[in-house]
Amino acid sequence: MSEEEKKGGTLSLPEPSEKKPGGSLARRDLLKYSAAGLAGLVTLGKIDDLLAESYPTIGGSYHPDEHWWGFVVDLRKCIGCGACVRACKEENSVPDGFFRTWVERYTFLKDGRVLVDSPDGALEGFEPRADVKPEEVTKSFFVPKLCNHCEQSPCVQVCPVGASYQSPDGLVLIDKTHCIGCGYCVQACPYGCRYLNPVTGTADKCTMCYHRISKGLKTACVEACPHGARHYGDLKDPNSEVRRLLNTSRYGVLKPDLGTHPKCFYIGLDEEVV
Amino acid sequence: MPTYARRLFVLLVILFAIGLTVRTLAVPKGFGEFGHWRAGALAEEAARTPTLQGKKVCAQCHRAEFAAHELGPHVTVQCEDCHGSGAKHVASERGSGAKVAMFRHLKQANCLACHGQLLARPKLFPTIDVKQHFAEVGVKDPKTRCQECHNPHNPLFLDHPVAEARKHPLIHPCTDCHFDKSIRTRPMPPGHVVTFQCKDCHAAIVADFAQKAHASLDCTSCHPFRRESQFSGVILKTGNPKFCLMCHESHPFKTDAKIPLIVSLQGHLNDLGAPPEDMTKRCVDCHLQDAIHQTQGLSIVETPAEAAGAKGGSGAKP
Repeated sequence: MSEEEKKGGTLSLPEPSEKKPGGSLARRDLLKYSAAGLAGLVTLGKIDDLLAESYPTIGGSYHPDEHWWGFVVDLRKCIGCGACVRACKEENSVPDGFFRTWVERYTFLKDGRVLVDSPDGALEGFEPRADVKPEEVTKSFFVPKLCNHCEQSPCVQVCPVGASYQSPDGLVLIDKTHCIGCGYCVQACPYGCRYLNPVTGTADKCTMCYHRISKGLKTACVEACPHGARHYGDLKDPNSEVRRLLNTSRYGVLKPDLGTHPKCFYIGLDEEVV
Repeated sequence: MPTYARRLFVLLVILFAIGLTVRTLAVPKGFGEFGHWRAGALAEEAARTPTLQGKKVCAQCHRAEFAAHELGPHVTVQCEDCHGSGAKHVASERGSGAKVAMFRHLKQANCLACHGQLLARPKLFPTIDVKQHFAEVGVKDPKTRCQECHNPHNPLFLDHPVAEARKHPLIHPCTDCHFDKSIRTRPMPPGHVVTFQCKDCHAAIVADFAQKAHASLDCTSCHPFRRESQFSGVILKTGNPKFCLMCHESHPFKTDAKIPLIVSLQGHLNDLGAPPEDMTKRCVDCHLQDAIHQTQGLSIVETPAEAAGAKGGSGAKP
């Protein structure tokens, strides 16, 4: 108490009671005005933020902020024909030897070994494995792979120039005009979904056919799949096909322990699939 | 202000200006507007032109092929799965693009990419062992292309769309689920789902069929059955003469040692001196009774309960 008095004395601040009405700006008023000003600034900032968050409409009718795209692969249905791989190559002019999507074949043997093969990414489908006798096999299935469009994507985090980004609708995309082709993202992707395009000299990957889905078309691979194994859709829409599948099936994601939160879900996933 | 301080100040200003210029040149327009990326990139990605067109676009010119395709089991297969990009095809036909090969599918391997036998394929998906199939239908040349007999647009020559196929209870034997064969002799427990074999409901026809020329075949050879769930499937509707001709048409690559062959339906009708109004006849119009099976007893049992009753009470009462 005494210290406070002492402090007040040293600074010789005017007592509130000494304030004359209609005089110069008093402390109470100053506080009031500054609070109002601050609140105003914050509000303005908020409004600015809100305005900035909404991406302009693309092509007249597509609003990126209204969607959150996801992908569902039904492994029980994949027949390993490779139609998706061919369609993706055709649609996106993927150079020979590189893949935005590919199909792997898992073969489980009685001796406990698990064999994985993907001849030329399954571009021409599969032949029976010559090195395995059918009676040695316990189970076998196909696993289509593509970019998982992770919510926490390591590839976006490592890009030194901000050319890899997550779009407002949840897709991991590359700004080709800005990419310097350093290849950090290719190494960072735990799923091996990126490659350096020898034609453009930039990193390249699945865009979930952004140029198609933003026009209301299906992705090339979903359209090409003859057996209904591939589905894409809006996770924000409670009535979408992917929501229905996720609500009614048991599914998993690849490498969940990495915390990347993939948005590519696999129905009927096996523990051994990585 | 002392000289050294002024120099330092000038130097700092110059460095700041250089830094600012470099930053302005290096950071693209719109960067950071919606996050750590260039705002224009998204619209640019969306602006690309799709190459694959989808079957409805192909149908605008290829109406007959599309009509056949919509009836058959390949209805879920896109034209471009076999024929390649529609946009490139149109550009090539209009002379504004490079020539493209539309018929890369004219090889056995292309059909086998889906229908070859692989351990990894789902069990319910129709696959074929070409060697065995050729032996059954008497094809001599192992390189014979599938479309010599099957029209890829409607490979089983169905007359009605697959979606309109008749629902039918599962017609697989008990051993589908119970690997122990002796289960068949035991009574079904109460509440067991009713599964069928053809003879359970169509006893007279199955007995008659066994006496006729096609006895070595399964009922499902001509009444294609597609399993859709654990309990039911659909019977696809055939009856098109081309369905019979898949086996019975004469070809240079075929031997007639096992299967009686005719050259063509038209030639066959001409040989018989059939009047012009009969030229649309189906094979089964004449040959059902003598070569396939009797038509009596075709009545379809309506519900599983009735079917269980028809089996003489050996099944469960659901």
